[in-house]
Amino acid sequence: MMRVTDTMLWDLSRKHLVRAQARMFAATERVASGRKLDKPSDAPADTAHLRSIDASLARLRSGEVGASRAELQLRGSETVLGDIGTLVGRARELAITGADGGQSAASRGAMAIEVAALRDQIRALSNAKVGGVYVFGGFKTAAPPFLADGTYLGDDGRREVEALPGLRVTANVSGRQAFTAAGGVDLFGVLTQLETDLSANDQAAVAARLDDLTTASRQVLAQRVLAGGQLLRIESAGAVRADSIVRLEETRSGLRDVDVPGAITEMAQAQNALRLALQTASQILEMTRAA
Amino acid sequence: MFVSGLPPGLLDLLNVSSGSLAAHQAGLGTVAHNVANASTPGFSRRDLDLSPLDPLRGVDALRARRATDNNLLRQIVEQSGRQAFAQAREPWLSEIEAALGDLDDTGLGASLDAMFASFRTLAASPDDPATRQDTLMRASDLAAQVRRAATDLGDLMDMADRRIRDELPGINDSLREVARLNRDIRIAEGSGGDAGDLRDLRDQALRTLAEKIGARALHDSKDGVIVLVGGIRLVQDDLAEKLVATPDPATGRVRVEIAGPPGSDLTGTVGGVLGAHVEVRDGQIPDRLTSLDQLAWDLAASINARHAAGFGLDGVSGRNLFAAPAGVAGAAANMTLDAAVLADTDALATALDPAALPGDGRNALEMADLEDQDLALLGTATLSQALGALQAEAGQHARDATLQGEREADRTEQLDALRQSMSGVDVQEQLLLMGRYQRAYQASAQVLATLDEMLETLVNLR
Repeated sequence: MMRVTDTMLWDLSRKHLVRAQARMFAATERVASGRKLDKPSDAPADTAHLRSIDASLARLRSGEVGASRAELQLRGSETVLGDIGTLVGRARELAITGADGGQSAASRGAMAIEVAALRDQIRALSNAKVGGVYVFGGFKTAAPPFLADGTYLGDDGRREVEALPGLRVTANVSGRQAFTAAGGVDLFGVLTQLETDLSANDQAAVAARLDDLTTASRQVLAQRVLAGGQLLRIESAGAVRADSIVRLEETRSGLRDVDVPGAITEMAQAQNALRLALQTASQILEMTRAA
Repeated sequence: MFVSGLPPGLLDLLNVSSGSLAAHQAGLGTVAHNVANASTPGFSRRDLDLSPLDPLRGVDALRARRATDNNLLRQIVEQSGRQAFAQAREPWLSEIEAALGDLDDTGLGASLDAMFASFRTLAASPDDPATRQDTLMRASDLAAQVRRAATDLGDLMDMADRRIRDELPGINDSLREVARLNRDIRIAEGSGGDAGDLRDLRDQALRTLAEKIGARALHDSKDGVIVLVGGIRLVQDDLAEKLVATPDPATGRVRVEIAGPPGSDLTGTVGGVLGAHVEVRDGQIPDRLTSLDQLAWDLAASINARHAAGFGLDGVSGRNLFAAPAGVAGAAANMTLDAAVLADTDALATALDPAALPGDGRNALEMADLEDQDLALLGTATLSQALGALQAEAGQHARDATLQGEREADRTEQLDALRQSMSGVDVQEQLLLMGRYQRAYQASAQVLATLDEMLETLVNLR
């Protein structure tokens, strides 16, 4: 039979006390921090997984920033294009009126003045700045894209942002397509010609401008529709993003956060184990004192 | 059965009784010694062997025997070395893990994510100075985090050097102590004395040496011990080698050597606490540092290549974002932003086309897309995955070290319990023995008194 010495009893009791203390400490730490994966050694296999989830979350959230900047510019562009559409519509009304044989030279002269004013307003709007950026200049965002004579200084640049991983949206619409001959007719040229024709009281020439004005109206509208389309994509991307973030946060929480009732139960068990270990120690003390 | 065929004389019986008194007094002495040392570490219980002599002389108390087993002792010594090694590694590996594995949103991983996110924001507003500045800060923060991790690992290596140096005086003391005890035991036992306590001390010193340097002990033919580390004798008879810490001329790291001449390098063969310091310094930390350097290199090289292909707001291309590392080794410790980019945010190459400035953010998007590409671990993982793998590896090692520490502690406890069972002092048992010796002593005294009366009767017969 094995000889059981006092030292063995003490060592045993000390070992269990130390272990119970350590277990109690770990359980308390988990409950207090709410984390089960606080450092890689807590769950090495889950660490790499957590890393990829964190990276995905950061990527989704960065999409939010880009998308909101794009949204601001597109909304601004959409509004400006709407205003320009209204102004082009007004110019077309004037052309229709001017093409009427009943109009006097004086009234056509007045119309010419209004058309010139409309052209200047449209040009000012085509140099609109939203969020610090000239929105119709393509990549040329730092300077007004249209000169006073209607010369276009911008380019065809499509400024893209990532709204979702793998999904890019264009943050601008083309000023060239909306206002210059590249999109159909040269809007500023047409308006200048209309002004000239009205001033010259040339009824036939004014009538001939109507088709161009219709085209101009359509090309402005077309870019406005494009802006609206991108805004829809941004909006639906936003919904997908919000869903993905919630889903990833759940997975992340499952990996990292403690299940609170479980952790509290475990802490109670650890407490119990510690109490028992202390009791054992004091009983051993009793026994050895009796001897 | 009687030597002379006659009953023993009364005077012979007097001798028997006084011998018995002495033997049981010695027994009580042994009990006292055992009880006094019941909680002395490494103490071996003394068992008194009583043996009957011929009836004319009674009982003899032989020398008190140490209850011990050299075989078990050797096992315990070796196990102590393993346990000390495992337990000394634990805190190191936790430190390495902490240097790399911050999983919070202030850690290395979060910095990497933040930099790529900032590239995406930059693509949306390449012409915005505040956005450009923010991107630079993110990249700079990532470089700082990588540098800090590498510096922390380097500091740990320096600390290991200091710890190795600091252990040597204690080890040298223990080596000298074993040599001295070898001599003292030989002298004491050669003159017929009892060297039990010296043997206990030597066993303790051997255990200390096992713990500190992973030494093994062999008993030589003259019952001295030989202390070995990696097959090299550090103590034989009463001679002890002296260990010194010398810097490695190639690496500057501390080597453990036997003081020469001729001297001998023990660094690769030491175990115990010293072995843990060496293994962590020469194995664990360099392994993690190599991975971190490779990651820093891959990160800098791939982002630089993309960055150099793009154009800054000043229309210039061919510039790096991160200062080009001199080589893979040291890439992490030296990671910084390129000086040109640091000096002027316009140098940040956001554009693909120098004619499309300043709104062209396509190169920023290209840089952001590097996040998805398998640029690390020889083209098998993304940078983020490689970082995750590095952190998981450090975590796995830390966890394994903890588990191994617990396993070795359990094994040591088992062996200690065996040793205690064989050599320890059970106080109850000693109290029983005390009672027995007392009774026998009283009985012998009674015999003596009776003999005395008988002698008196004999003397007064006339």
